Order: sequence, then C-alpha cells, then structure tokens
Amino acid sequence: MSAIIAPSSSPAPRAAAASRNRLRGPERVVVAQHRWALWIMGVLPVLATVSLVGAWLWTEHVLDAFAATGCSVTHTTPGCDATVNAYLDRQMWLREVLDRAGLMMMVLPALIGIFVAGPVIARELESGTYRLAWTQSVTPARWLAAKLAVPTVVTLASVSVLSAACTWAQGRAEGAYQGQEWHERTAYGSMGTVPVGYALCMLALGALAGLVLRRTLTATVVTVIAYGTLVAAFNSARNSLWPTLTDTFEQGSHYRFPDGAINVGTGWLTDSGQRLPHSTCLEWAPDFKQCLTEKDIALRYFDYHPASHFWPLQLVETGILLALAALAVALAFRVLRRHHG
Amino acid sequence: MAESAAVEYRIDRRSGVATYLQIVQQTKQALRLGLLEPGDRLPTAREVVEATAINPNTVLKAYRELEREGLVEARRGLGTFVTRTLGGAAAADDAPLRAELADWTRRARAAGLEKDDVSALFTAVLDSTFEGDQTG
Amino acid sequence: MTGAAIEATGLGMKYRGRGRGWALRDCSFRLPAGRVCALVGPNGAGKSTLLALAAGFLRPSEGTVRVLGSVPGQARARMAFVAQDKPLYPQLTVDATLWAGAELNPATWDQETAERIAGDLPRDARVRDLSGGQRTRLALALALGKRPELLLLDEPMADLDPLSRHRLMGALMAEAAERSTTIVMSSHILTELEGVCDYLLLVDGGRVRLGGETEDLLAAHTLLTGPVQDTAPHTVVESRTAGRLQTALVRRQGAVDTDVWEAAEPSLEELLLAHLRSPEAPALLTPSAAAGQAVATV
Repeated sequence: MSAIIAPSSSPAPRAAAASRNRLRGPERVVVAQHRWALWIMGVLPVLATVSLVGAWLWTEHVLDAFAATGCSVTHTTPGCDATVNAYLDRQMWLREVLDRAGLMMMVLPALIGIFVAGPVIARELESGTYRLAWTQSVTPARWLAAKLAVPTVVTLASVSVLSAACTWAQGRAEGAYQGQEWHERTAYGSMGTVPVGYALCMLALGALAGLVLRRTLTATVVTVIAYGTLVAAFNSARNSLWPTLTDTFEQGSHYRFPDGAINVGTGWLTDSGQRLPHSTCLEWAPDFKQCLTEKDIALRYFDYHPASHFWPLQLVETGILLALAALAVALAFRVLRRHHG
Repeated sequence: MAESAAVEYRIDRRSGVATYLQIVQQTKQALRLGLLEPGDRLPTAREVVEATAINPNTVLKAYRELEREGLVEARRGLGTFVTRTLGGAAAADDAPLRAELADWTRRARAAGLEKDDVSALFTAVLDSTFEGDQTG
Repeated sequence: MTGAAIEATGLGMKYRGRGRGWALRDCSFRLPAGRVCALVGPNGAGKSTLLALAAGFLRPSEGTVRVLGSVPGQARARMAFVAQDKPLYPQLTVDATLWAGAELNPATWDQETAERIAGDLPRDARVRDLSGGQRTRLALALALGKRPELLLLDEPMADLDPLSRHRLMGALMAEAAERSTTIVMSSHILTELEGVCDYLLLVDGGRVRLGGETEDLLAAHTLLTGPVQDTAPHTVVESRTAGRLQTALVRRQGAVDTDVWEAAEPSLEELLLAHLRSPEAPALLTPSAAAGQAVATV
C-alpha cells in the first residue's frame, strides 16, 4: 500500500523544499560565509545579559548584608567605617560595570557598521568574489538583499536583548543608589530603542559605504567617521528633538529644579516676554539689581526635559535613525542598479 | 546496459590531417582489421570527446561521413552501429593476398632492402596504382 | 539550435578614469546557439570586457548585448561564467562551495555533474589552501553543476597542467555533446583551442576582426606562394616578400590563378597571426556571425 501512496505524496514535499531553498539560499550562503562573526554577534548578548544579572545579584546581596548591619552612609556610626567603605566600593563597582556596558553599547553600532562595510560587502567587491554569487541564479539586488537581511536579523535580535538588559540593569540600579542619570550619554545610548536605531543605521550606512567605495579599508574608515559624525550631531541636537518644558520664577524666590530633569537652557524674561541670556545680568555683579531694573527683567526661566521625556526623545531619535537607514538602503540598491544593470 | 564501445580513437593534433578524417580513417582501419564487426556500437560523441577533448561536432561529422559511405547507421536513442565490414577476407591471416605480400616482403629483405626502403617502395607503388581514385 | 546565444549590436564599453578609454567599440556579431566558440585576441584586446558584458557584470556604455534572447541580467539562471581569476569564497571548503552552488541554483543544480568535475579535490580543504589548478577545477565544477545553456569561460585553462587541461576540456566537450551547451572560451593560447572550437571570434583593439565557423573562415582564406606581383583581385590580409618570393594570406575573390600561385589553405594559427600582424585588414564575419542589420563586409 505504501508503495502506491509514495509516488503521489513525494513530489509535493520536494517542491515545497525547493521553493523554501529558493527563498533562503542566498541568506544561507551569507551565513556560511560569516559564520564566526554572526556567532559572536549571537553569543555576545547572552554573555552580556548573564554578566549584568550576575553583577546585579551580587550587588544586591551586598546591599542586603549592609542593611542588616544597621550602618548608614549618611550618619557616622562608630565601628561602621569598614562596612560603609566596603558598601561604597561595591556601589562604585556596579556603577563601573554599567558604565562599561554603556560604552560597549556605544561602540557596538560602529562594529556592526564596520562588519557590513568591510567583510560583508567591500571585501567581496574588492576581491571579485561577488561575481561568484552573481553568476549563479542570483541577481545583484537579491545578493544585496541577503547581505543586508542576515546581519539585520542578527543585529535586531542581539541589540534588542542587549539594550533590554541594560535598561533593566539601569532601572534596578536607580532605586538602589545614586547611579547614572537617564540622560547621561552612555546610559541614554544603551537603553530603550536608540541602540537598535544606531545599529541598523550603521548597518545600512556601512553597506552603502562598502558598495560605493568598494575597498575594505576605505569603507571601514569612512563608516567609522560617519558614526562619529552621527553621534556628534545627535548629541548636539538631541535636546531639540522634543519640545522642552519651561519653568519661570521671580528672582529671589525659592525654586527647585525638577528631579531627574536635564537643564536645557536658562536666562531672563523681560516684561515684554523677551528672552535674554543669563549672562546679561550676573548675580554676583555689584550692579545686579540695577541691571535687572534697567533691562525690565521680571523673571528667570529654565528650559528642561523631565525624566518623562525619555521615551519621546528616544522614539524621535530612533525614528530619524531608521529613516536614515532606509534612505541609505534605497541609495545602495540604486548604486548597484546603476553600475551593474 | 552501457556495453563499452569496441574502438577508441587517438587524435593527433599535429598530424595535419583534419580531426574528423582521423576518426573516419581509424574506424575504417578497425573495420579492415576485423576489430569492428557488424552490430558493434561506436562510442557515443560524448564518450569520444570526453576522452579526446575535441569538439563534439567533429565526431558527429565523422559519423555522418561513415554513415554516408554505408558503413554505420545511427539508431535514434541507441547509438551508432556498424552495418558492414571492410576489405573482408583480405584481413584474415591466411588470405592469399596477404601470403603473397609476406612472401614478397621476405624476398625484398633478402635482396638487402631496409625496412624503410621496403615501406617507401610499397607506398610509391600504392600511390601510382590508386592515383586519382579517391580521397579520404 | 537556430537561436542566438549571444547577439551584440554596436556594443561599446568605456572605462572611466585615468584616460583608459574604450575597451570595446562598435562590436556587432552573433553567436549561434550550440557552438563551441573560441574568443581569441592579444592581451588587452577586450576579450574579458566582452565576456563581462555578456555575463551582465557591466552595463555597456553604448549599444546592446542580448544573451539567450534576453538582456544578460535576465538570463542569469541559464548561463554560467568563470572569470579569469576564478572567484571563490576563500573561507569555504570544497564541499561547502558545492553546497553553496546548490543553494544558489535551486532550479538547475546537478550535484552529480559538479562532483564529477570536482573529481578528487580534497573535500574538506578550504578554498584558500587550494592550488591554482584546483581552484580552476572547483570553479568549473560550480559552473557546470549549474547546467547552463551558455557557458562563458575567461582564460579557463591558464593554470592547469597538460593532463588536467586535457581532462577538463574533455569534460567540457562531453557537456557540450550531451546538452548542446554553447561554450565561449577566451584564450590567447591558440593551441589550447584548436580542434576544440568550431566557432571563432577574433577580438583585437576593441573590435571584432573575424567571426564565424572556423571551417568557413579558413576556407575563405588562401595562402599564396609565388612571384612578387599584384595579388588582385584577392583581398590581401598580409603579404611578405623574401627575395623574389612572395607569401601572401589573402581573402579569395573568385578563383586563384594556379599557374602563377601555389595555393594552400592556411592553418588556424596562420590565419589568426596574419590578422593580428595586420591591424588594417578588413573585418570578416560569416553570415551566421553577422548581427541583425549590422552586416559587415564579406
């Protein structure tokens, strides 16, 4: 019986397997080509997550032990010096671990960009091995798509896990000690959606650089420069990515700057509502009061981003990065079509 | 099923003789010597070119020539087969012509002729006898 | 069999930068399907450029080239190309390279053919550790495993020893015999191609000088030996005199006066060398090699 059934049933799975291969063939070859690099990209977040959780668990243990001693950091209690020192050392250590993690997260997009610009694309064009793929049943566009898809999937998975781990660790640390503020560079850059945005943007820019420059070394150098420019540009523009809040108060009255906010700018407001820089009248100058009167200054203002602006700022920045990435990818396909039909 | 073919061709690219003619001549030689008999299959074009690295069309051209002379026939999907033999009895060891030639050769040797001299003499007589007869 | 494997019309390619100029100019020819074609010419004649255009790696600066009836990019699945430097992924093993071939050609791949060509290559060796000859074999295995209708080979046998060369050429011819694969092989070593190719394209100075069936091209020319005098009405390709003796390779126009001249058919090598030594000799394309309207002189 089975002999009768077999012929009719076997062609279908074979056809399905063939069409599956057609979808994935180029991607599988890209994976085979870059097995090591992709393996590292996959293992990295696992290692990082384990270390962050480990670091946190150990620190928590120390915190609990410290709480049990009855010593306090703010009051000097006899006999507590050594315990307090050990406790503070532990806090410093955790802070350092988080700093390092944040730094690594800042470097990661550059590494991804270098990987795609150099080994994945430019090296193939430089050494001529692209012709191997293009003489198979694979169009240049399909080849580029596979070259982008594989690193994108791995990057998306790996960086998401890493930034989630960093976000978690920062959040836990915040309650326990005076850690990094959310807006500090390494903290902000390692949390939320921004790391994924930078990673994907650098992946796309790296691909474009590799495709246009066609030289491994030149393409990687240009990619690194592009990353530096990108980071510098966002650092100087970040505060204007979302409308700030403004507090005003009369000079001399008591004002408390909101906790966890970033000070974006401060100065004087005249009666007519005109803004003047803070340096117009300085508090320690002898003619300070006179200066205020002369300039019709009524109020002092502070522009700031409260902690609640973390997500709007992150999402706008990520959005711009993803738009840049999409633009770079579109350009890359265009360059490919222009040169190679 | 894939019974091996009865002849193997040797192609000499420096001989100055066209490649397809070499195949024709070697096939005829094999027919004369009785190495190929009616019903034998000639090697396929694929087999010939794989062994000799010559153009397949050359082999096909040679086979067409042999077919034109009525020595072989192509059976679709099966291959090219020998249909008749050449020179027939002349090739057999005990044929009278061969015996006469052997006798003549011995006498030439006894008369002091070297092997090359005998060969040259034979070729000269052969050429004058068959002059203008045919080519290829 | 009647279709064209390659058809070029007014094809030209100009490389940008450093005044490199035209690598190929005004090329019009047709290669009928099912032929084994020799693409010959001196170094830098434009052979590689012509193959790269046919393979769809370059976009022509002017004119068009059609491959198997469509633009090169669309014929990709039906053709194979082995470039002169035999591009292969250095980090992959021999087996992984063949596996990649199967992955990248799901519709046509034939593992058995590929394995036969690969022969006794060490399967676990990485490509970067292979010798030049072994790389050539692997590149050809990849190309033939794809079972192409058109196979473009740029200087395929350059780094092979005579035995491997003979074996691979045999394998190529077997493929051509079995599947009527059209093969284009470029080379500047003429002996590599004699007896193998039944079609010829001579490219020189970026132009096609000769094109057509090898036999027809040879038959159209005659090597004349005789007194120093005008060879009219025949078109002279090359003429040399030594004392009172003249040797001329001519393109026949009518019958040769055998009272004056001793006539012989030139060898392929004589024909090609005579043309290469005489760049001003007019081009000759046989009717089967003439593309569309752009028929050259006969």
